[in-house]
Amino acid sequence: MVILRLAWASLRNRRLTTGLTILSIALSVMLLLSVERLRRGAEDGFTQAISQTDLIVGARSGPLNLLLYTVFNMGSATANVSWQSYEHWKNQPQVEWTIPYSLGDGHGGFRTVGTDANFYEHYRYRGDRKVEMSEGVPAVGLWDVVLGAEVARSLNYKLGQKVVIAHGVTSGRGIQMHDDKPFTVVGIMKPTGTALDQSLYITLEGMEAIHMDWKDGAAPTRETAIGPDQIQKEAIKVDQITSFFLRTKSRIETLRLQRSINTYESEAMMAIIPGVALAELWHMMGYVEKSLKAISWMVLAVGMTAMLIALLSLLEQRRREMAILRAMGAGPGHVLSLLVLEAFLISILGATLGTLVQLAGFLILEKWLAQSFGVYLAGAAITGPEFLFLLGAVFIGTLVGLIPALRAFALTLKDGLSPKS
Amino acid sequence: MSAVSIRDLKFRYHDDGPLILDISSFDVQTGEKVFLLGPSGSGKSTFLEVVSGVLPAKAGKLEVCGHDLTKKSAHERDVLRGSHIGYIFQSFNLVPYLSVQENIELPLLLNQERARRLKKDRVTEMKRLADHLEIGPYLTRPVSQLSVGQQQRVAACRALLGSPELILADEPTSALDQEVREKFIRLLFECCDETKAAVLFVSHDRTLIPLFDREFALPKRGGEGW
Repeated sequence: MVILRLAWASLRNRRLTTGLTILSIALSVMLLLSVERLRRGAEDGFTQAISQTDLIVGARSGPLNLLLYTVFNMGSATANVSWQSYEHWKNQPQVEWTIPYSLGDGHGGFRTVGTDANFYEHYRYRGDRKVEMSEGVPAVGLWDVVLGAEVARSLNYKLGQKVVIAHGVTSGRGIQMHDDKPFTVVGIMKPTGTALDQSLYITLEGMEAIHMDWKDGAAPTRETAIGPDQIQKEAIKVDQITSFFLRTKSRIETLRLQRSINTYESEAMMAIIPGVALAELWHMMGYVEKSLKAISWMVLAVGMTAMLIALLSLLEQRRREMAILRAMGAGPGHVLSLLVLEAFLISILGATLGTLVQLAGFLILEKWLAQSFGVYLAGAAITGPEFLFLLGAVFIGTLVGLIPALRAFALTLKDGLSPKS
Repeated sequence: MSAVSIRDLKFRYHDDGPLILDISSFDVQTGEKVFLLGPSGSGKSTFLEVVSGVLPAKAGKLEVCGHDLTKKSAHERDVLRGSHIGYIFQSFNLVPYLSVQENIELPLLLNQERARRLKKDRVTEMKRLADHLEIGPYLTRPVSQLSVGQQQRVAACRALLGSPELILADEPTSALDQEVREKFIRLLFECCDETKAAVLFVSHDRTLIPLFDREFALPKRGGEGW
């Protein structure tokens, strides 16, 4: 105990050096914990971008492609799914619900999704979160459009605003505009922190309507154009969609259903299990995480080196002090443990400070991270592996302290009561 | 029981090294104050380190407060030193990062037996001794604010607290001015008389010899070493 008191008093006496050393260790601990926490948040946000959907179904292509263009607004479909096929699978007895997704058009750099009421009712992300309106209502009318939170925010659109959909583009400016058939904003969604925020949502019929007078991929001429007031929602027959989400009544049926969709003979289709595909995709991005971690470890190494230098550089000055301690009955072992304890105290204070700063920092930045980056810090603030890392950091620090301590031990034996300096 | 009893003590740093100490007979009785005289290089520091058990004596007999140090392990010697010996250095006696009071208490914290020997509680005993040595008002100060003379008295106070039987002093007055040297020694002796502590005082200042019970000159070594 007396050695602990001595170690503490000695560190307190060298406030500046000690403080800076503690700070450098705290910094690295904070960095490592932050990287880990952000990674967990990003992974959660990523792998939880869609939940409760058992299968994502689209035309046959690559599973990654299907996942990217449905859930993450990236890339585009190479082929569509016919309405008959959709109806066929939708009406299978083991299917609980489906959400149709029709893609291809965009507005102001954001994509437009044609869907139906099931989207507002059944789409889930991050466990059990559903799509909610911050203003207005879901799009049900033919010319209704609902804006994702980010769309509304960045374009600064309000309810009642007219929106013209650009043909064939989901990003950048379109060349051909569906300006003969403008939509009206009826709802704005709450932020979800997923790609949902970056889309506009119209009905399947609306999507069909803006294209109904198009022929072979070309815009209608003045003569062939059909005015928006001439079109009735009920009269529109949707004949294809891009993909759909599907929920089975019982999870056990998912695999069997996936196989029968994949081997469906009438149309080349593909079904993927989003959880599996998301985990695979996340795994592919693991190198980012690894390099961030490597950097954090290097920062920790720098912090430890700073401590080592601080302790070693003081040894010469402290030979006198050690002779005094020896004269009062302290053995070389006491001197050894004094220096190890100092390193231990620095490490544990550094680790604690780093943890506290990290916790406080995320408490403050939580909202901003969610809004700006869609990173939600769900889950525990500190997990088992992170706690192990903290213990590891303290352990390494103490071990590093052994270097000056052993040197002091040797000096003590050599010096006795009269330091030869 | 004598404080120190030496018979045929020989000391070398290494088994095949030069003979540093060769003392056939030397005793310090309880409460006796001995002035240890020795030209520089005569091995005074080594002698104190051997008597205090920091350096191991292998040949001969070396009894300190009734314990034969030649038969003790390094750790046992450390414990014996802590509980039976008070040590005063020439200068820089104090741990710089502790207050005066913390410095004085240190041997008590390092040695249970020393603490047990206190007659009253720690603070009372310390204050009394500090007052006697005229450092009472400085107890809470950082050591850096004390003069050299005050620092040496703090060191004396630390060496005396807990009534060790033997005080080893390695030229404790050499950093002091002439006029305060005597006063320091007188104060030290007054305190030692209370507890019947023996003093082994190393110095080359012969003017101090009359203050002591007797003097002892370390035998000169042959032309070896140094």
